Amino acid sequence: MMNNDATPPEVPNRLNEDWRYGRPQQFAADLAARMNGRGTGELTTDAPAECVRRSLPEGADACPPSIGSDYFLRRALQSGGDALHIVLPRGEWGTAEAPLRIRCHAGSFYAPQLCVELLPGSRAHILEEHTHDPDSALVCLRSYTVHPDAELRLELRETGDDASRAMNISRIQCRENARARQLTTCSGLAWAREETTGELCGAGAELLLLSANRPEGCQWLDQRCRQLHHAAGARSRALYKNVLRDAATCIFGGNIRVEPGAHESDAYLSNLNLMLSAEAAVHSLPQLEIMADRVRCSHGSASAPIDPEQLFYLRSRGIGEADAQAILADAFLHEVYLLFNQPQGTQP
Amino acid sequence: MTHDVDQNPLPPDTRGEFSFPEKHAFDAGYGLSERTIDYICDAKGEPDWLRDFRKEALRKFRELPMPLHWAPEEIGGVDFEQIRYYLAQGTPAKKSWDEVPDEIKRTFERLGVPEQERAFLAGVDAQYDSETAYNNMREELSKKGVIFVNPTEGLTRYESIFRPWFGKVIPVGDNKFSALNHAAFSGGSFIYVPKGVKLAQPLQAYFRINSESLGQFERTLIIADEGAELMYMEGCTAPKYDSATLHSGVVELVALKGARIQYVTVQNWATNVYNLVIQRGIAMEDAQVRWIDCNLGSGLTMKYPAVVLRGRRARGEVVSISLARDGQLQDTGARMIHAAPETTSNIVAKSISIGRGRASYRGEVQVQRGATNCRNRTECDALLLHAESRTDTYPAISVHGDSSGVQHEASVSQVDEEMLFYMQQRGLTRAQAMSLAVNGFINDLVNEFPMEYSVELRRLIDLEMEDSVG
Amino acid sequence: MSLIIKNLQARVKDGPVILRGVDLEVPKGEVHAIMGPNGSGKSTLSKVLCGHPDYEVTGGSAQLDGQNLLDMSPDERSRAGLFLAFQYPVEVPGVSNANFLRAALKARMPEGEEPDAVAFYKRLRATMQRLGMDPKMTARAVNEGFSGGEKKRNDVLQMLMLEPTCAILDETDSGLDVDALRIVSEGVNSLRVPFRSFLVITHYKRLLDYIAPDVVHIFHRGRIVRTAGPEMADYIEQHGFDFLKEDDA
Repeated sequence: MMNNDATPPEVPNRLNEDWRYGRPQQFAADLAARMNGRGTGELTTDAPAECVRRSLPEGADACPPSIGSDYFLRRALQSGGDALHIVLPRGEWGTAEAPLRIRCHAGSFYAPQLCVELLPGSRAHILEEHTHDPDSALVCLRSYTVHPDAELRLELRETGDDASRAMNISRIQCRENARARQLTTCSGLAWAREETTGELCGAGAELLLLSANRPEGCQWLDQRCRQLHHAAGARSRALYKNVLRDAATCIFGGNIRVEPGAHESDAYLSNLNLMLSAEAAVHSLPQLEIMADRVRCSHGSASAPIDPEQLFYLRSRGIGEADAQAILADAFLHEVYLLFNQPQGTQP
Repeated sequence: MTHDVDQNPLPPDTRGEFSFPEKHAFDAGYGLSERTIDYICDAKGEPDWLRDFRKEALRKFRELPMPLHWAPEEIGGVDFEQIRYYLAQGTPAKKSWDEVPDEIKRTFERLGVPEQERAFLAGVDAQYDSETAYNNMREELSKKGVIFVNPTEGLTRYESIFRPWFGKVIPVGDNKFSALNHAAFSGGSFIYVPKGVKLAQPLQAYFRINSESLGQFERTLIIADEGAELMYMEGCTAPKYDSATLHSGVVELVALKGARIQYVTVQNWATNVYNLVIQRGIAMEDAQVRWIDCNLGSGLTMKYPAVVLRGRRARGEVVSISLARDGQLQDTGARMIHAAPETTSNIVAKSISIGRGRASYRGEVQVQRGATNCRNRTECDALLLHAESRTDTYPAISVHGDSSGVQHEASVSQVDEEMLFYMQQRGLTRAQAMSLAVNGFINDLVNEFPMEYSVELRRLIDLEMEDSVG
Repeated sequence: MSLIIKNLQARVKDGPVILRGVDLEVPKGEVHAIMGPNGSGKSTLSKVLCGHPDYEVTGGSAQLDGQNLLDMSPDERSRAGLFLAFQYPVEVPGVSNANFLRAALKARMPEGEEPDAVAFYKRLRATMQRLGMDPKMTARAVNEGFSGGEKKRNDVLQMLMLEPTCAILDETDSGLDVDALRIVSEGVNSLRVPFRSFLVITHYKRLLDYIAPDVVHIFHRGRIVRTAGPEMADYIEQHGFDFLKEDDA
């Protein structure tokens, strides 16, 4: 919104609303400096060879829109990092237990581009694993297109050491009657920024965006998501849950946008944070922009400590304080996994 | 519609669609410069420190950018050069309506102000363009030491009381519009309620713009000393002129230990008024600040009443209603800054968008580091009446530490068709049914307003519904 | 003649056809019952008569006291004397029972006139007492948070206050316990006068033990397939609707 083509690309600053509460000076500027170097890393998949191409398709579908990070998007595109284009035709691809895998490993700096298409009638279980060299930086552009009547169940696991940084600029597009769900988890990075733009482009489309994280130490987790309802009669849900320890900081910026004409949209957005430390901080920005009629939209955000009654209950049964806390933290995140694992078509 | 309305004693012309010819002894002309400020200071006979203060604020105003990175783009329509900054009759405020110049008196009579004063108010300040035309308070309150004056009088006659807090709750450089107000302020009320004094009846200010292109920059500072209590109400109208008008007030509330301040606004400006108001209260230990805010008029309102919870166990509350019709953008909300332990706050905001109207909630809740065991609850509900109506919700919530609980909920809904059919089946027209449904939607909040205002509010909403649905 | 329906056909807007030619006459002073299996369309008939926006009339006519109902908006039909006690009375948050009834009564008076407040409250309280309703209900929002039985009672209260010339009771007995059923029925029976007609839609005979019908119609597949005296209700109580299968064959 802020950066149109007329203005030169700039490293986000504090006046960029999509970076509100983020640390553009501290993290984005550093990332920008690394992007001057040549990228090293690996992007692989165990998908059948006939489904995989090493070049991206023409057209807008290949490149995700960013949420205020156009600068990084352009730099990543210019860096000429590896590309992977996976097309999955009608049929079953992977299972919940043995999903189709995509692996991305970042060297000191890596900016690959991933484009996955589920053709009509395709059903895929995909596990995307991002790993890091020590002190590495990853900027990954991810685009998933779910064509009519296709189903996507996608898990993204971001794992790194306490000096690595990651930025995922992602889009999931759902066409008519398409269903998609994504679960992201992020562990061990110094800084991670996850951007997911969910687009509902046809009637009957369903999108579920989930995230469960346990930031600790001095980690910064900056998550932004959008639920864009372009078409009438679609449904989206977003649930982002975090358990914060030590001096961890979480930022959540969510936006439900129902475009004019997208009547009878049904959308929900929720950000819940469990605070386990006096040093922890959360910034939550759940937004609604409604320009259509007969919609059902709501959002909620809550940040709270563990319920002392629950803690006492567990301790009265002989469980130590630390264990009781851990049990309750697990229980808090459990809902996210439950939603991710329940059969398709039974979304809340 | 209700039984109460029949007995409404007020004959007010609440849309304020009338005006009298201008007769001003003082007119600072268009645009704001050092010379304008000299003109205002000379006209008001202000001391040098205030003149320097205003000029410093003007420098800040010129430096500060418009908040375009987050504000609605409509704010770009404000043209500071096309605004008149000071218009006054040149006569001091009167203590009796009989002494008020005839046309001004007739204006306020049509708006129902003198009747309200007789009926239920402890004091009234009636501002006409840039200056107060009438200011009076019941005698027993002056005897108790209550001060209710205009800003110039407050800062000169009662300097030791008001100057220490003036510009402290909302500093000059807070944003472009606070700097503007610090530079150009005129009119408004300065109120001091001494220790332990509790006002049984509200004080009221009425703001009236009668001249085209006038910018109204009133300034209000209310100090409730320890254990004091008061309710303050403001109403405002302006006729619709061809050119845009700017209302940019600054309201500062100071609730000292154990004090309680309730501030009620019913805003019904004409739709070419830019209503850009900064309202902020500071609540010390065990104090309470409560904003009750209703925005019906103006083309663009940007207003986010705030409470800084500075003392332990302080409490802040915002109750907000806004109604956006064709050509209106109501960008309203609330801010709660928890800066001390065990502070609590509550925000309830309801908006109604009609036709192509747009209502946005913008809010901020902060629980700062070290502010332990705080609680906030925020609830925003939006009602959309037509397919072209728009609503937005933009909260920002920051929580530090593991002892505070903050909860935000928002929903968007339409008037249920089944409900309308049910009411129509009982014989109500669609417009009547819609009006009842909308009144029902905000009913619990309307009840938070003083009775005289809530009756008036319901009547206004009925009128709006008849216009837009019938 | 009070209510005259001829060959009425209707469907859900952009959806399936529900009413397939209903013929019915309910003279003034009479109580007619409509019974029929679930899904036969009997509730749809009540909604179509009252002008519910979900349905579209595709043919036929419906008149009340010579006025063409189908040309009127839902509120005009109400003011013409038609009342529907809803199967599921709707909640109207924030609008008190008393204000709602006042508004409905005012809508029946000439422009600018209002019901007298004192007389209104007196009558409202008396009527509520007759129905065994707590006087505090006047200040509560219409049906909000009411139990199923309280909602039905509230609908009957509205009927007693608005005094329609033709009242349709749509499954009014569902959700009522025996005491409530008796009280509600007494309310209805008190309105049985020569200038008023009733159409009672029910699945069970239970309600008809309290509100004795003059005529019983059997509704099936979108039309009336049998018309008989009150004894028909007893027959159905014992044998169910199985006999309708012959019609299907």
